[in-house]
Amino acid sequence: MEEDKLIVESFLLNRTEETFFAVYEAFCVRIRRYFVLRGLDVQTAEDLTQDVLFKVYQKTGDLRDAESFCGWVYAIARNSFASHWRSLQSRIEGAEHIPLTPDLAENIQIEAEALAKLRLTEMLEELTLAERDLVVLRYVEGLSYEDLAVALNVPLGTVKWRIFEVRKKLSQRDYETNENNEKDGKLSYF
Amino acid sequence: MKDEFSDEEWDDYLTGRIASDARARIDAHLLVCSACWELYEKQAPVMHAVGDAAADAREHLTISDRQLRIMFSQTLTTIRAAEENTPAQIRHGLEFLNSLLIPVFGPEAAHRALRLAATRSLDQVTPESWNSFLERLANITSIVCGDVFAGMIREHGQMAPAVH
Repeated sequence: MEEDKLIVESFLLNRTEETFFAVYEAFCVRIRRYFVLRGLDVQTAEDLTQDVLFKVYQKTGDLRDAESFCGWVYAIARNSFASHWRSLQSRIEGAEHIPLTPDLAENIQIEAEALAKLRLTEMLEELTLAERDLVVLRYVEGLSYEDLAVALNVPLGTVKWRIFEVRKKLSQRDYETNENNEKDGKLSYF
Repeated sequence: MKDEFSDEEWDDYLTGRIASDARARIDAHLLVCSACWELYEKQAPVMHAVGDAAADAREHLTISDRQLRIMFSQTLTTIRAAEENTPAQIRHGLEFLNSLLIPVFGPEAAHRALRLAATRSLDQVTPESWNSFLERLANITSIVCGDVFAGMIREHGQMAPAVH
């Protein structure tokens, strides 16, 4: 995180190709992963990642504070994700046919297989969309509470409350599973 | 609980990624607080599992260095194309106005004033919208610094390269 701060400060101070590459290197994998875990296929995740980092470069003048950079990047990512779903929804409502090309089919299959292997996917299935968003940002991407407040555009108190609630929900689920497993004489999958 | 550690530290503790000094404080607290101990016993197993599953996801969802460079190159192409669409005279005009504002406003407030005058984003200032942009900027500077400075912004803005 300290290394990120130096990279970001250097980029905000002097916006060159080199400083932008350092930011790109630090955030590209994270943003792509965020989109994949939110359910997008690889190709769309990469397209949106590029779009997010393009906006970061373009709009970086709007942000002078290195401290809130990380939350700000994820706020852009969340907005891009929402826009993507809105446009997808309108395309579905318009019954536009998207042909399944071999490349697209392969991407969908590879990512579906990769996601199926992740234990996290199983945990996320139990949660609402907003809760999944929070779990991915907090526990996978490691955003601090302050970064989460910027990314989700909510007060710090709301972040605390939402994390408390999602922890309770996850624990409740585990508790039920343990109870069931104990009844069945099985070990918990956790 | 609140006096000895924060909510965030507690959350880090439950997922097993806390710094050692805070860990020791929470360890000590759990020895004497049965309510927190009960919560810990209930939540720690699943939160550790979430932490492990998250680490697993981080390990698996990566990209190669080659792919990263391809994506970076594509993004740079998009950036350059967008920059070409912003006329050079607009960029020069904005830089010129910024150089006038900085000594009076400071760099951050100067940038904010330009952005506010642009209404949405500086990228959207065009030769056609230059005069209305300049008028909004003059109005902002008039309130902050008075009419003399606002008049100077108006006058120099008209003479800025953007209008030629």
